[in-house]
Amino acid sequence: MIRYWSTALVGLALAGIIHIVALQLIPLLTPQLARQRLAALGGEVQFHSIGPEARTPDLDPAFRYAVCLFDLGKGPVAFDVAPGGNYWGLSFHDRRGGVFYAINNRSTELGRITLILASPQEAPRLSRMLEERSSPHVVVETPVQRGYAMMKVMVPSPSLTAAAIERLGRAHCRSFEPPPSPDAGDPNRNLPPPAPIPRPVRERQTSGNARGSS
Amino acid sequence: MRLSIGFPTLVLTAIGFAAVAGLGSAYWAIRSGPRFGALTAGVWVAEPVAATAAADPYALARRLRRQVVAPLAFESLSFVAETDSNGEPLRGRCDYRIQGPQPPARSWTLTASGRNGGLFESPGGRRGFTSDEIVRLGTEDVLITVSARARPGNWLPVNERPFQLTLRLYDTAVGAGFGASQLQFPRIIRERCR
Repeated sequence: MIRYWSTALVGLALAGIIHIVALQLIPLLTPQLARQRLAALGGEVQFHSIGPEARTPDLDPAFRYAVCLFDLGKGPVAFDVAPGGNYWGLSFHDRRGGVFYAINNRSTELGRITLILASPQEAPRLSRMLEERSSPHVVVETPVQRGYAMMKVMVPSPSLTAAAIERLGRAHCRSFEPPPSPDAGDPNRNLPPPAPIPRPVRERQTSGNARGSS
Repeated sequence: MRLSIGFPTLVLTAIGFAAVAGLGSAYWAIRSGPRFGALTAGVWVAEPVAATAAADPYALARRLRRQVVAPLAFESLSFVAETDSNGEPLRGRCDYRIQGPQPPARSWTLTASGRNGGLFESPGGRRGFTSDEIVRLGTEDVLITVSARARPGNWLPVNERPFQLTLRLYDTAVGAGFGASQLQFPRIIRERCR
């Protein structure tokens, strides 16, 4: 009799182990995680709008979306967003789609801001260096290395579609050159240029693409 | 009667039971198990933690299964209703009235979709309402009619199949300290069925 009971107990314990292992295996066996799925839209560190053919059922039909894939192992990434307008949100996601940071147009009432996404190794130094600058920066420290940013702009009514697409085109995603370490000479001279208010031509083209493919 | 079962048979039985019970329970828990950290307001359910990088393994598996790329968290939230306010499943053969106070958010949208989340083909192109589009009839309350047939006022079209409603709140304090249960959400009231 003991033999039967012990078999039952072993079976139960084994069932528990299989339950846990199966759950842990699901993300590993998922053929396409959110980031891989979105990688079909284009390369890293550039906003790509999600066209009608690429929309997934979880996207709100009242919104236009653009995605920027990042890999912080290749250095920090900066996001420039303009204030105001109808509701928009910028969220940062890990490879599996989980949100780890989000802001919206009300978080940026003070004006144009730049969010810098940086690894825990880079972030403290970046924050220290950028504190001295007048242009508003927010350094977001994250252990997530590979993920994506999702910019969403609301289209409150169909007549406002053009304005939403225009706003989506004004969001930028670029690699951020970390300032050199303070012992490399005069720190002020070596700081990177302030927030990109006269935008370089390359970024204008980016926004044009975002408009064209949406 | 005395059963005599050999040791290998016992081991195989234990392994077989473990495989079926382990995988079966995982499948059940992902599909219809408890939603940890869910917020409910009437029949509206949101899972704010499931949308984040800190989701529990069950919520993560559910999210991966549905291929979600833009989950809402922190400043926005997605509430889903699969039943009317009496607990009956939402059916395309019935008309519904969504009535109640303004959802607690600066902006919100309401959409109807199939049970799998897929949007309906809509003849007029309308897939949902935004907070700006609602026509208010002299009151602060929201009144939206869900029906497969054309209706006057704020008409949200569906087709004849079962459906679910998604109420997305943007720039909301719900979930960030405020519970949803204290808040008044619109009720889903069934009217005529065909």
